[in-house]
Amino acid sequence: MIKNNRPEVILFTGFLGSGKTTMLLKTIEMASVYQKKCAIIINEIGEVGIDNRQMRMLGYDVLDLFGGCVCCTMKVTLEATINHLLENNDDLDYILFEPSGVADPLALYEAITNCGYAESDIQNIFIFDPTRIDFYQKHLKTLFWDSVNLAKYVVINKIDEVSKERTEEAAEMAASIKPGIKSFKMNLNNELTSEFSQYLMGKEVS
Amino acid sequence: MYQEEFLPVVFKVELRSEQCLSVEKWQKLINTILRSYVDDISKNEECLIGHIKALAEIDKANFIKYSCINDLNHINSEVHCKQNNINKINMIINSLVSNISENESCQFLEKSCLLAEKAGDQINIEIVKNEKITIKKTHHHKENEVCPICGEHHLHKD
Ligand SMILES: Nc1nc2c(ncn2[C@@H]2O[C@H](COP(=O)(O)OP(=O)(O)OP(=O)(O)O)[C@@H](O)[C@H]2O)c(=O)[nH]1
Ligand SMILES: [Mg+2]
Repeated sequence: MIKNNRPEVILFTGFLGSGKTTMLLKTIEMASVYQKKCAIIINEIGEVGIDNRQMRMLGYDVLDLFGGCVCCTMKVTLEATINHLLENNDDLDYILFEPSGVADPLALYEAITNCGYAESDIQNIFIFDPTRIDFYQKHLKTLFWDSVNLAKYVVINKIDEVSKERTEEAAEMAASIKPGIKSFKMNLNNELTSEFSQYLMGKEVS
Repeated sequence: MYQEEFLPVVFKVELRSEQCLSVEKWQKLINTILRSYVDDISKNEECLIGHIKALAEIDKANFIKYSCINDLNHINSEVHCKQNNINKINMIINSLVSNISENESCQFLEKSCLLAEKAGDQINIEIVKNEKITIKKTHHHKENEVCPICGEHHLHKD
C-alpha cells in the first residue's frame, strides 16, 4: 500500500530493445484516459538519448538521469530525481521510470525505497521480448534471471511476431524463474489489453 | 557487466536532398542506410547487437524512429509526421553493439552513407564528427571538482 498518497512508481524493466519505451508510451496514453497525472523518468546510456528526445517531440516532459555517466552512481541521481518530484508535485498519480536496458534493476530499488517506498510498492513490469528468447538464454543469464525475479509481472510483447508456442515458451521461462508470476501477452502496437489496464490502474485503490 | 559490453556509440547524421522528397522516400532511404550498416556489423559473429536505434528528426515535432535488434529482423520504423515533402533531416543514431570499436562502427556507417549517396537520389549525407559523443565524455564535472550529484570527490574512472 502506498502511504501518504504518494504517486505509484511503475518501473519498466527489460533488455535493450525489448519494448520499454513503447510500453511506457502506451501507459501514458492509458493513464490520460483515466485522467491520471504521470511524471516520466528515462535513463538511457549514451550522451544523446533517443527515447527522451522522442518523448519531448511528442510533447511530454521527461526527466533525464544523467545518461550514461560512469562516475556517479545512478542510485544517487535517481533518488534526487524522485525526491524532487515528490516535493514539487502534490497531484502526481504515477512516476513512470524506464531504466537503461543494461541496468541491473536491483540497483535501482534502494534509491526508490530511500524515498519512502516499500519494495512491494514498486510496480516492476518486466518486458519480455519473445523474439529474443535464444539471445536471453545464451547471453543474459544473470541479468535476465535477476530481472524476472524482481518483477511483479511480465509483459510478453511482440506476440504478433512469434508463434503461439514461442509466446508460451516465454511465459514458461518466466514462471520457471519466479513460480506463479503473472504474464500478460500483448502486441504493443495495439492498445494495452483491458485486463492489463485494470491490473495496472486499478491497483492504487487497494 | 552489460554496461561495459554494450557501450553506446552515438552518431549525428545530416541528410539533405537537392529537391524535396516525400517522407516515405526518406523513410526507405534511411532504412537502406541502416540495413547496410547492420549487415556490415553482423558479418563479425563476435558482434552482438543490443539495440541500434535512430531518431530522424524532421522538425520539432515530426520524426521517424528506427529500431533494430538483430540482423535477421527487419528494421522497424515508425513515422510520426504530418509533413510531406522535405529536403533535410537530422538524425541521431544510438548504436549498442558488443565487441566493436567506435572507429569501426563509424567506418561502417560512412560506407553505408556513401552507398546511399551514390544511389542517385542526389542526396548529401554528412556524419557530424565533432558532435559524435561517447560515454567517455559524459561527465558533468571536472576531475578536481565535487560531483554535483553525489556531492563527493571521485575520479572519472571510478
Ligand atoms: N511488432 C511489435 N513491435 C514491438 C512491440 N513492442 C515493441 N515493439 C517494437 O520494438 C522496437 C523497440 O522498442 P522500444 O520500445 O524502443 O524498446 P526499448 O526497450 O525501449 O529499447 P531501449 O530503450 O533501447 O532499451 C520498436 O521498434 C517498437 O515499435 C510489439 O508488441 N510488437
Ligand atoms: Mg527505450
